[in-house]
Amino acid sequence: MRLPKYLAIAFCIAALIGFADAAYLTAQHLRGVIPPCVVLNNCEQVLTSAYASVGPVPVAALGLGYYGAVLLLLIAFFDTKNRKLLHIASWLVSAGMLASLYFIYVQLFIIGALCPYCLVSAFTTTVMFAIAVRVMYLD
Amino acid sequence: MNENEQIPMDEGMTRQERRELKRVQRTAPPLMQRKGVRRLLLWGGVLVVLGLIGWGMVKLSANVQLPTESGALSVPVSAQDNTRGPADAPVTLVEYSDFQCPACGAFAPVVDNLLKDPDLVGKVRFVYRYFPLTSIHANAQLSSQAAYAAGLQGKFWEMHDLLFKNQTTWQGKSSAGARDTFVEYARTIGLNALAFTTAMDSAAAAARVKADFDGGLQSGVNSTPTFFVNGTKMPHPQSIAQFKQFLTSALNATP
Repeated sequence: MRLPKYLAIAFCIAALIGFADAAYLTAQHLRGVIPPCVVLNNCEQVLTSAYASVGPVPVAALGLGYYGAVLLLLIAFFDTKNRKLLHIASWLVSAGMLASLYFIYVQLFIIGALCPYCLVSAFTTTVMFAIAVRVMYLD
Repeated sequence: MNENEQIPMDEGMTRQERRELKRVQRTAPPLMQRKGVRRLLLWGGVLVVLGLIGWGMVKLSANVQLPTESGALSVPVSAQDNTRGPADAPVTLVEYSDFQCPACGAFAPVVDNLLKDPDLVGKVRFVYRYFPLTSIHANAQLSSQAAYAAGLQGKFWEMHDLLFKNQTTWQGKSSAGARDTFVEYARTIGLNALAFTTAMDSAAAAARVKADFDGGLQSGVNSTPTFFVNGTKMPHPQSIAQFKQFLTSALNATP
C-alpha cells in the first residue's frame, strides 16, 4: 500500500469530524427550532438563508451523505485494498472541495456572515482534498 | 495476509495426496474464518461508530440551550414604548428584537398570529424594543432608526411589518443602499420622506435605540428575539404551540 499510514488515518479522522459536524447541523435543521441570533455566532444568518438548502434538501444533509460515502469508500479500500475505491473517494472529495469553496464564497460575499460549523466542514474537506491530491499524484 | 504461505510439499507424496493437500489449502477454514471475523469487526465497528456519532449529535443538538435562564424585565413598559394591543391587557409581551435578525423575522408573523388567536385576541399587549446586534448585522442600527422615524409619524408598526417582510431584500445591502430602501418604504406607507429621513439620521433616533439596547442588557438580554411575559423572561419557544402556551398560562395566572 503506497498510501502512508499517517495520511490514511488523517483522511479518516477528517471524514469523521466532517460527518459529525454535518450530522449536528442536519439534526438541528430537522428539529426546526428557530435558533435565536447571538453575538459571536453568525450561524442563524447562514443556516436560515436561501443557500442552506437545495430544493427541499438541507445542505447539511448533503454533507452528511458526502462524508458518509467518503468514509465507507475509505473503509472498503482498507478492507479490499482496491485502489479504485480510493480514487472514487478522491474524486468525491474534489467535488466536495469545489462545493466548500462555493459555500465560503456565498458566506463571504453574498450573505456576509461566516458560520463556524460551515468553516469546520470546509477545513476537513481541505485536509481530505490535500490527501486526495497526494493519492492521485502517487498513482 | 498469508495467502501466499504454502505448506512445503513433501517430495514423497503421492499425486493423490498432493491433490488432497491442495484442496485443503484452498478451503483453509481457519484462515478464511479469521479474515471473515476481521471484516465483520471492521464493518461492524464502522457502523457502530457512525451510529454513535449520529445519535450523539442528535442529542447534542437537542441540548443546545437556547437561553432559558429566567430574569426580570428591568425597564417597565412606558408611554415611550411602541405598543400594539389594548393598554389594559392582562398579558404584556415585550420583545427585544433586531430587524436584521432572521430569527426575529421568522417570529414576527408568529407573534402577529398569536395576537389574533381566538384565545388571546384583545388580551395581549405587544411591545417592541430595539436590540440591534450591530456587530453581526450591518444594517441593524439603521433599520431600528428607520422604525423609530416612522414611529414619530405614527406608523411604527407599518414600518416594522415592512422591514421584517422584506428583510432578505435589504439585509445584504450597503448602508447607503439600505437607507434608500427604507426611504422608499416610508413613501410606500405614506410618510413625509423628508421628515422621515431627518428623523432617521437624528441623534435622537440613535439615543432612543441605545436606551432600549441598554435596558435590554440590564435585563440580561444576550440574543434576539428575547421575550418577556408580564415582566419575566420567557424561555426561547421551541414551537408555536409552546409560545402560545406561555401566553395562555400567563393569562390564566392573572386574577
